[in-house]
Amino acid sequence: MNDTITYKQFKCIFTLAFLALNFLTYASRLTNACLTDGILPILITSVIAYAGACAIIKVMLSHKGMDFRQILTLLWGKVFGNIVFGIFVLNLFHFSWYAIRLLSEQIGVCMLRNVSVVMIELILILTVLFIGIKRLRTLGNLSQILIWYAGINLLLLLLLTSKAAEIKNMLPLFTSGLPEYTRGVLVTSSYLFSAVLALPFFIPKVEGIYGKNKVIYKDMLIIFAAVFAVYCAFYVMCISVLGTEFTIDYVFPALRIVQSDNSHNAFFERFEIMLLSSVIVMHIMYFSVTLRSVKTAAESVFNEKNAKIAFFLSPVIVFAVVLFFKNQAIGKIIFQSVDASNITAPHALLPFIVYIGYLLKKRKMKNE
Amino acid sequence: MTVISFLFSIAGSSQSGTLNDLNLVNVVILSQKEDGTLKMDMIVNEKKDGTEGTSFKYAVLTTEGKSIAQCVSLAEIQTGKDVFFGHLKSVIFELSFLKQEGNITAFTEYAKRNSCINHYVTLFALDDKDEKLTKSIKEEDDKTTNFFNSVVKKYPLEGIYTVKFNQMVNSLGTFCMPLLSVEESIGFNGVCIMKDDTYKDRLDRQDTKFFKILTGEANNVYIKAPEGDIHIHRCISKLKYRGEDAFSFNIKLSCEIEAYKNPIDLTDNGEKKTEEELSKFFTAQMEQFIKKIKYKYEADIADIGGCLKRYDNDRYRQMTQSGADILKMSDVDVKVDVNIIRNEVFK
Repeated sequence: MNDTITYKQFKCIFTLAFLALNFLTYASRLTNACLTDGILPILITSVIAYAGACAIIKVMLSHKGMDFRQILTLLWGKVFGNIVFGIFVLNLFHFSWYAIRLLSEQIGVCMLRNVSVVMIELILILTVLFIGIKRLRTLGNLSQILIWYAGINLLLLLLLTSKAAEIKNMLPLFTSGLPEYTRGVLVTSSYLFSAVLALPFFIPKVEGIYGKNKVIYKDMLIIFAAVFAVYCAFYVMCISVLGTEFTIDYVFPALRIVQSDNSHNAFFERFEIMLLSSVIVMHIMYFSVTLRSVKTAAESVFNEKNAKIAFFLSPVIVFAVVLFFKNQAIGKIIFQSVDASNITAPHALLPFIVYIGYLLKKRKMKNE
Repeated sequence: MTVISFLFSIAGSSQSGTLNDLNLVNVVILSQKEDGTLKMDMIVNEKKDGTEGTSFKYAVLTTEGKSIAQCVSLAEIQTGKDVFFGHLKSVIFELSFLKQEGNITAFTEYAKRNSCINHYVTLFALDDKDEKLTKSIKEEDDKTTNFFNSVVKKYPLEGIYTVKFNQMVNSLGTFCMPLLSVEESIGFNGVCIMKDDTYKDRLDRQDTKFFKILTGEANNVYIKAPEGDIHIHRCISKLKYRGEDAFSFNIKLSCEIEAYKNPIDLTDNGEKKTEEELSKFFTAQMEQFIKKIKYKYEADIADIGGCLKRYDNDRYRQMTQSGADILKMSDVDVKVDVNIIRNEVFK
C-alpha cells in the first residue's frame, strides 16, 4: 500500500517542525550574540532557509518518481552522492539527539522533577516509535490537529504576556557589528529551520505535489514568514519582559516570560504549562519528522526487512548517544568545549550543494 | 497525546505527592545576623487545626545557614516536605541583609538557578531589627495578616512603587524598593535605594511621593500644596533625551483639590489660574527633588543613564568608558502640567 500524505498535511507537519527545535533557548543565545538586534539574524536565517527549501524542492520536483538517494546518485555519482546522502542522515540524527535531550531536560526541570531524565527520554522515544510504525497519514492527521493546538496556545501566550512587556527594553537598536550578526546567524541557522533537511525525504510521499512548483514556493513563503513572525514575536517579548540582561542569563527565557504577572486569576497563575505542552507537541512532531526521514532513508538503502530493523535501531542509537554524552566524561568535555552551533551551522548549505549538482547536471545535459 | 500523557503519568505518579506534601511558600523574609549567618523566614500556608477543606493560616518556617540554598534544604529536612517557590508572591529583605555587599547577587543567582521559582515577585525592604514581624505573624496579629493578604492575595496595592525581580538589574545597578517598617504593625515607610548591589540610602515619606511622581507611579497619592490638599488621581511621567546630555521630564497630573486653603474662584479662569499655580509648585518641588537625587542620594533612581543608553548609545558608551558620572553631568529639566479633574465644590 502506498503510504502518502496530502499537501495540506505536508504543510502542517513542516510548520510544526520548523517551530520546534530550540524554541525554548534560541532567544537567550541570540541575545547573547547580538543583544536587541536579533530580528536581523532571524530574518537572514529565514531567507537562507527559504532559498534552501526552494532549491531542494525544485530538485525533487524535477525528478518525478525518484527518491532522494536515487536523485543524489544521478546528480553527483554513486560515491559522492552517497556521501551527501550520509551527511543528510547524520544531520538528522544529530538534530534528533539534540531535540530529545533539550525537551527531556526541560520536562525534567519543569514538570517531572523527581523522574530521571533518562526515563523521560525513553518515553519520548517510545512515543515517536509508536507514531513511526503507524502510516504516514497518521502523522499527517495528528499534525492537522496539533497545529491548531500549538497555534492557539502560542497566540494566547503572546497576548497574555504582552501585559508585562516594556517595549523600550528593545532600545538601543542596531548597536551590534557584523561579527555579532554573523554569530547570531550561526546560532539561529543551526537549529531554527533544520527541518529543511527532511523535506527531500517527504516530497515524494506527498499526493499531487508534482507540477505545482509556483504554488509550493508561495506556500513555503507563507510558512517561513509565519515561523519567522513567531520567532520574532517571542524574541521581542523575551527582551521586552525580561530585559537583555535576564534574557541572556536564563536558559529557557520563553518559559520565564509566560509566568504570570499581576494576574488575579488563579488559572493563569502558572500558565507556562501551556507553552510546555505546545513545545512538547512541536518537538514530538520534529522528532517524528527526522526519524521518519531516517526510516525513508533506510528504505532506500536496505530491503524492506532490514529497513525496519534499521528504523528501530535508529532511536536506540540516538538514545545511546544521549546517554554517552550525558554520562561519560569525554561526552561532557566535547559538549562543553565545542559550540554545537558552529559545527552544525553548515547544514544550511546542504540543500544548495544538491542544487548546484542539479544545475551542473542540467548544463552538462544541455551541452550534450 | 494520549500515549504521552499516559506514559508521563505512570512515570510521574510513582514519586508524586499531594499538595500537603509541599511547603507552599508565599513570602520569604531574608535577614543577616551579626556573625554573617543568613536567616530565612518562609511564610507558608498551613492548614488550620480542626478544620476541613482549604482553610489555611500563615505559618513561619525559620532556618539559618551560610547560603540561601542551605537554608532551603534545612527547611526541607526540618519539615520533611519539599519547599516549593512556584507560588512565591513577595520577597522581603531586611536592611541587615541589604547592607552586606553581594547578598542581593547571591539571591538573584539562586533564583536564576531555581527553575520553579516565580520570578514575578514583588520586592520589599524591611526595617525590623527586633524581628517584630515574624513574632506578629506567629501571634496571628490581624493587621499583619491583612498586610500579607494584600501581598499574597494581591489586593490592589495602588500607589505603591514596587520593583519586580526582572527589573532589578536594569537602570545601571540602581533600583528602589518600598520600605516596610514595623512599629505597632507593619506599614510602608518610604523607599529604600539600592546601588551597586548594596543599600545606599532611604527616601522619607515626602520624597517618596515625589519619587512616585517622577516615575509615573503616583496614582492615588495625597500631597499638601499651598492651594489645599491635593489628591493625585492619575500621573503620567515621560523622560525624554533632548541631546547634548540634556533630559526633560514631562509630567501630567490629574488632581482633585480636597481642602481649599484660599478663597475659591469657581469660574473657568479661576480654575486655570489654580492649575498654573499648582504646576509651578510641583515643578519647583520636582526640580528640588532632582537636585537631591544628584547631590544627596547620588543614585540614578530616575533612570537617566538608562534613557541615555536607549536614545544615544554612542554617547553613553563614551561616558561610561571615560568613567564620567552621567547623573551629575546631565542637565535635567522638569515640566509639570496639572489638570484639576474635580474639586470639593463642583465637578
